[in-house]
Amino acid sequence: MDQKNDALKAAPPENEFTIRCPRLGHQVNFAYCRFENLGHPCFKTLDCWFSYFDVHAHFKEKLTEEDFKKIFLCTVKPKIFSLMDLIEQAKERKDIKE
Amino acid sequence: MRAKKYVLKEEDMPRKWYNIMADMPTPMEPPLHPGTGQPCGPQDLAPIFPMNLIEQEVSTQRWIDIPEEVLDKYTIWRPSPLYRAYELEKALGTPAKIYYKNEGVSPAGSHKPNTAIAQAYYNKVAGTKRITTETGAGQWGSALAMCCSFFGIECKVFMVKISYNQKPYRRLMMETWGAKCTASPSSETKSGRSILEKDPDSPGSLGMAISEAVEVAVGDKDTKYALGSVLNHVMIHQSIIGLEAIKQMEMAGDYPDVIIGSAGGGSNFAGLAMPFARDKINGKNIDIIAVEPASCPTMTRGPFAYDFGDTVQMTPLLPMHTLGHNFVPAPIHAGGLRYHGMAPIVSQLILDKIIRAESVQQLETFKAGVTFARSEGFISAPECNHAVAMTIREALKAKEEGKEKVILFNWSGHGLVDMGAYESYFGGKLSDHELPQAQIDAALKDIASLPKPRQAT
Repeated sequence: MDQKNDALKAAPPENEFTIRCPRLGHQVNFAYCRFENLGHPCFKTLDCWFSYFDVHAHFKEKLTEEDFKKIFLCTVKPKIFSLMDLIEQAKERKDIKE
Repeated sequence: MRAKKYVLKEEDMPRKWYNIMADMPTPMEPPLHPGTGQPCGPQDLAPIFPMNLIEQEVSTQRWIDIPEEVLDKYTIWRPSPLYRAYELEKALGTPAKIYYKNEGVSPAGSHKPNTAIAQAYYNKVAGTKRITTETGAGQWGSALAMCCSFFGIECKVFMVKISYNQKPYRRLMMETWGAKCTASPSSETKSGRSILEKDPDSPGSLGMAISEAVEVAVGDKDTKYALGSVLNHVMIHQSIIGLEAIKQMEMAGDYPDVIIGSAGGGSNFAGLAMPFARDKINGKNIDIIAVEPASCPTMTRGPFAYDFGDTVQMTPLLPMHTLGHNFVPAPIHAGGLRYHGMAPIVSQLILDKIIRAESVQQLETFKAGVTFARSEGFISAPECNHAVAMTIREALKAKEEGKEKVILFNWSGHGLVDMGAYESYFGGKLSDHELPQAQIDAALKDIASLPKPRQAT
């Protein structure tokens, strides 16, 4: 396909349409991105799909304002901090287990 | 016969890794612990990393000895050859001299084993019996699996379930090297079970897989966790690429005017570029370019600023590239860009103008990959194609300018287990879209009031 800079489509692409996931390192379709995060969209969905359709409007319509903010505004921390968080979470799970 | 490859003897392999932390024009500002607000200390990471690797993570020592045991394993694929890309030059009709460092010669097919072998070794020394990690497509997981097998360490890989099903060959590579590869979410961890209770058909995610890997490491004193990119010790281990390349360029009688590497988490780029960046810091005139996808930019579309982890501006502060802390209207979304995972060292060097960042659209990358395959023969991994594409741009620019530039890039890995992406390209299923500058400008206004690092004036 040629490069496009015209108006964005409103609807998401069909499931056969895939893009490369920068996190996983292989092709995925929109359905995966949409439900990746425990049934919610992956926090990078807007970044990765903005050039293919109006993904922002799509999720504004599909999600509650609270979920939208939670998923896309309060997202991932730098790696070193996310590791520290995961360590703390794992310790808590271990304590509960014990 | 003209020389196509420049191959170092094993005894000429570098004996020390290079740590650019010692030479940063602006010393790195330490990350602050999210809980205490104090600089993070070694103990914060001790539950998942052995202390010898944590020491490297915070080290500012310029040269770090490569242990003999690591050198011995490196010889399986190192020194890696430096190639002169005569056929690519001919295909482009450029006066530029193009060289590439072939990191695809490792048994796992990429640069990843350069750090995996070091991490496996240091864990062995520290008494670790098992290493856990997460993987998506499997490039990192397979590298770690191989390296753990060399040192008799058990390797446990949580592979995202969608990847586990989509990339069977990488999974089989891991299993061939003796790793236990489990689709994540799994029933083997508490975090995995809680996800499966809610959604038994969950396709998994990288976040879930990391949680499982860390949980296993935290829950067992003999188990540690390993990460293949972003962190400083990973950048140090990868420096062997550039250190070898310096010697090989001497053999070729050239010195690069331009250095190019693709940058996802930054490790293959840093591996080639950092030893040359040292030369640049000391006065050499080199154009060092980190290349990223235009579709998910990290470095090319934002100023360097302290960023906040949440919208109430309370959580961790770390200097990094960002487009802003508030949501920006469609089609641009900045929220994820700042967390894309670029190594902080790379971000800082962009700020210091030691390196610069460029982005390329995906169609250009695949077109470049095909040009490279049809001239030089090697089929590049899709990430690697970003470096190939930028090399072609620079070579064509040299042609326009009539300059005989010397270009060196890192060919970080082959794409032989990643042909699905090529199939999509050949099938016309890929497209590009330019982001209007006006919308980028609007996004940048969003961060005008944020505090900046002291050096960002």
